[in-house]
Amino acid sequence: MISKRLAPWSLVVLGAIGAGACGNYSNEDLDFQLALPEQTDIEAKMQLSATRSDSAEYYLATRSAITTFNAMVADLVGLIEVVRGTTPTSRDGATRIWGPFPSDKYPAWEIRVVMQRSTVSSSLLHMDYRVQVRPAAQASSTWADFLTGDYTSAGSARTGTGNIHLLAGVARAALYPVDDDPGLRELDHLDVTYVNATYPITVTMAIQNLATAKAQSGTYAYAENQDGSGRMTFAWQGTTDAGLPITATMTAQWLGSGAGRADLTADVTPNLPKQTTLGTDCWGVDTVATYSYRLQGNTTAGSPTSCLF
Amino acid sequence: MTAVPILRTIARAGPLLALLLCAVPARAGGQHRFALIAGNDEGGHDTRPLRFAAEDARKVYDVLTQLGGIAPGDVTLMLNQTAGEFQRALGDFEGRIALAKQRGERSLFILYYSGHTKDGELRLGQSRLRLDALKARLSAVPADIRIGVFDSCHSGMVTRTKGARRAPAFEIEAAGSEETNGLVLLSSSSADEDAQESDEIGGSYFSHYLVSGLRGDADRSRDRRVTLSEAYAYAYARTVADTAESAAGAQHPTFSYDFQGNADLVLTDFASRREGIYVPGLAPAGIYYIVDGNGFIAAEIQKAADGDRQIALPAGRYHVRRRLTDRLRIGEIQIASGQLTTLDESRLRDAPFSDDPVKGAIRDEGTHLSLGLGGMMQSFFDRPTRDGLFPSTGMLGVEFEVRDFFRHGVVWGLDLASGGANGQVDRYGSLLPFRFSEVTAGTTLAAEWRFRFGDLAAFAGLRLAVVLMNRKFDDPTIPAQFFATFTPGLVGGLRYRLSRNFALVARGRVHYLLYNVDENRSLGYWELSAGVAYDF
Repeated sequence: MISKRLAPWSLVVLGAIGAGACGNYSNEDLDFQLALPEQTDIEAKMQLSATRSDSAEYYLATRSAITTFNAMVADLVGLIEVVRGTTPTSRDGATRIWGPFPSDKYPAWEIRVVMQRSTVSSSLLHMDYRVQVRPAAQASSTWADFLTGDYTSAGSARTGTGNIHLLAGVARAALYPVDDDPGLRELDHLDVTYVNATYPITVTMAIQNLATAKAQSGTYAYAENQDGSGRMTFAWQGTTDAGLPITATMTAQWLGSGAGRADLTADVTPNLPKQTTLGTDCWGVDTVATYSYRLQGNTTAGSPTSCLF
Repeated sequence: MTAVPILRTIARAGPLLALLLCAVPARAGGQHRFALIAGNDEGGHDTRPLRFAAEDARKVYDVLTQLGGIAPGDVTLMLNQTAGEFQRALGDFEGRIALAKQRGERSLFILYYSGHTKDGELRLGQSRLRLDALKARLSAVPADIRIGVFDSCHSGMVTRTKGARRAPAFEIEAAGSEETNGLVLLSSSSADEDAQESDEIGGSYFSHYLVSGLRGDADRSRDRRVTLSEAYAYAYARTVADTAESAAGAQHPTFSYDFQGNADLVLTDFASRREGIYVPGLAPAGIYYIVDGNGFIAAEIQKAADGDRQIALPAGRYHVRRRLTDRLRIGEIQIASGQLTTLDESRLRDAPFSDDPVKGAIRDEGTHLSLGLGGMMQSFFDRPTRDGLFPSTGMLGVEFEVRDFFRHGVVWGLDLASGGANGQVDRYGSLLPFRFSEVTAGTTLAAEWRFRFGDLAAFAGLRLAVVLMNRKFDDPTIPAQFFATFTPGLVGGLRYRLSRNFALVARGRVHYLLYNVDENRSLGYWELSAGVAYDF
């Protein structure tokens, strides 16, 4: 009898105490935050020395490719950065939702991030996440995926295998104004896969542009070794002004010191056999070519024995 | 207090005491005694709570059951109860006394009340009882002798209609008769006076001296018995003398009776109860204060130069104090069960006034403030919680207390503490070190009980705190986290007085915390603290 009488009062007291509680102090939130890649997890790292007027041409090309690659990584990570910087708006079991928030770029749209944790095993963390958009004025409309991703840990919460998909085409179909962003205007989708549990850390990025684009697709494949040496292959497939297919691949390798080598290969090029090496540059830590070869003009400078790879 | 007013009062009362000695029977035997004893510290919204009314009732209960010939089954002690409950208890006694009368027993009924009286009403908490109605009902109780004792402000109203005078009451003449029968009314103050309490004695003046007298100090006849007249004369003289120079002015107990009989009425008999203190005739004259374990005066002994004295006290350990002009004589005495212990002057020692075992004699223990500083350890009971969520934390704190404000022995405190610790959390193999910090502020309401002559006190109470916990990860990419909530808890501890102003405080707390970020989880934590308090 006493317990029955006390029960309602206990609930009232607990409710009052609970109502007065607030905060973001959560271990589980850490799992969601750790599952998302940081820029430093998936960006390409190369010892970048100051460029010179006589820096190797392919070194400059490699550097430019890495800069572009890292800029795209930064843009992707920026889309999910809200998860790390703010408290979830709602928590429901294994699901966390941040938002909806008004889109900074497009105030007529709102954006949210949904993360779902799945149980793979007691030692493995698996997350699926989505960045979704919808018109702010149509609260009942369905959310369109703008970015999706998944992650499975290995060894620790913040090392494992992840995939990120930027779905510009899907968002475009939902009338999200992706074309207002010059960097996305020709993009259909972009897929990133990264593995950072063990060395070499690898990140691949596949870009699929719209069919109307001059360059239909491109890939970046980056590998990073523990000693600071690395490798990046970037390939583009497109068409010439004459409508002929053309594909080329540049493979760059470098040591932790920054010295390295890059080879440009024509996979499919009009008037050339497949897998034709168009040129090679080797450079030292000062970025100056120690050896250079160009198919065009069949020119050679320096000794190929100076090449580290 | 000076001896002159006491002697003067006794001198005035002397012939009249003799008259009363011949007016009521001086024997307790053959008389079935009943007592209803009530004490209530509360008197309603327009009165300030008393500190010792309930305690006074307890003391009267003790002395009457130990020395007054009243069986435990024939006495009811009512503490802080309502007028309705009081009247129902009185009705119960009316029935029982009527049955005793049917059995041919002679009976005596004592009604004692300590509490508030205002506007002609007894105030028992929020309830009230007309004093004149109670008096009429007491008069009608079928006992042969009815004694009403009222220790409350303006309680002289109860004796006024019978022509009682302030002092001494024994000027009233009674017609002698062999049949002892009638009504006696005692009040602690006259109809226009307040009844005063004393922190030093831990009770009201009147009840304290009534009890002290009943324990033996009022025994002027040296027959090991204290009669009603002896007890009243003693309580009257000591009350007037002790309150003469108080801010409220002298307090004059009153006495009235409507009595038939010719022998004195023995209230307590300690001739057969040899448990107490004996002061031999060779001991120095003066007033000996017997101080109990709570630091309050349990009894007083007025020792004259030419005679011995004896008082009855329960077994236990007591401090003894005799105050001289320039120093104290203090010591301890152990009264063994069933033993009359002789006070040996040689076992007393000289001491400065600052060593007075009566804490109230050193300082007024009324409302005062206290400021404490200390260190604290806090830890959650649940191991996973303290390992990865809220780590065990050392804190430094300050506590401000208002003591004895709401009522005696009640402490209200405000506290603030802050601290931090290093912790780490393991998430799927990722160890994330963090720096944990916490600020907590709380309010505590506690009751305090004093032991060992007031130096040691135990306290227990309730606390409501607000905690703000924060952690900052070593990894700068992980944002800081915080949690704030209210937590109710229990508090208990000990307080040991080192000196007049300083005390050591050891405290334990147990708190409940509802953690509701990921899910609702009921957590508990404990706190242990130790520190120093300064009493202003």
